[in-house]
Amino acid sequence: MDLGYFLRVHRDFAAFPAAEHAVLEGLLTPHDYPRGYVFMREGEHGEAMYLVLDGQVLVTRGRLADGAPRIICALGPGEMFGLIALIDRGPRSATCTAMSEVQAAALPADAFAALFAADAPLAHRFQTLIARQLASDLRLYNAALTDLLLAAPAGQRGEAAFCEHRLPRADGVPATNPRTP
Amino acid sequence: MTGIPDAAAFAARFPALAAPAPESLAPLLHALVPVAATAGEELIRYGGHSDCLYLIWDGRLRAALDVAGRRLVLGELGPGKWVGEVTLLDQGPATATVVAAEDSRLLALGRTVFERLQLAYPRLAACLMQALSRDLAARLRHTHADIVDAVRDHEAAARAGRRLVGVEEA
Repeated sequence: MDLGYFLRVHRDFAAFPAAEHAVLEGLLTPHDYPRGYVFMREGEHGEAMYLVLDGQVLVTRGRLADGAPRIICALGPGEMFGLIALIDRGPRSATCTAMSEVQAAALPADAFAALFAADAPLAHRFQTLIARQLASDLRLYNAALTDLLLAAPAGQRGEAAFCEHRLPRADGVPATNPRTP
Repeated sequence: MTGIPDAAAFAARFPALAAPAPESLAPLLHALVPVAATAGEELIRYGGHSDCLYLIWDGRLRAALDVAGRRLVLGELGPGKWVGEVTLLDQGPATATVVAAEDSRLLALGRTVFERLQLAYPRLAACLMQALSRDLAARLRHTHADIVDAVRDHEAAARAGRRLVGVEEA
């Protein structure tokens, strides 16, 4: 996967000027990761974010009563993960694992900070993408929380509503905005 | 504050938004519109249209979810906080109903002015987006934790409901 081409056809990055694509290509480091590779573990320290170029990444958080990881969502090409820790440098809020062979581009927090200092228009565009992704994630969680709190006294129904919002859609991993149900 | 505060006062009230040097805040201050909300006034309706970021200068705003004829109070926000950023960012329906819990003085940043500001002052805009992102990230961590608590076992859902929100009939 050619990173330059990927950026030119990406839903959001496509709107960035060509010169900014060149800057991003210099900052993002594409890598191939084997199936089962753990990009980050919940609670651990880490400061890079990733852009998925190819393959699927499973996001889990906590464990179900039977000990199985609780599935939050699956991410596909064009999506970013690791944003929260990149922003607040706190512990990872979820575990992210390669469900298939995955090609992803890492952006270390320091590179992000350098970008912020060096190129204001690009920093603004990139920061806007991040803010929008977080807003979209927050909508998802608000919806799940609403379902839980209204339907939850029945217990089972709350859990069902929670899972329904988190499992990937049946039609595969959409490239656009799959975290919004 | 009868109108728009000066840069120093604004920076003291909203330190997260004032990461750029105070002198470079001028374009933001020019873009803000003072709004006086009286107690009980509804500023944003859950599921409705909203295209303003409201910065809270003083007073208190109450955020709630209106679902199935019930109102779930999420909490109250005071000076230095803001509401309306999710809708400002993605133009989707409002994620909460926001009502003034007491007489409040607000500074509104409308979508159109915000877009013009972003084109003209990218560095200032990047800092604002960073502040909004940090706030969203903090809320995501908080909401994550709430949900994990709530699903830990079935009883916990009801407990979390009592702890997190007051349920009142709308």
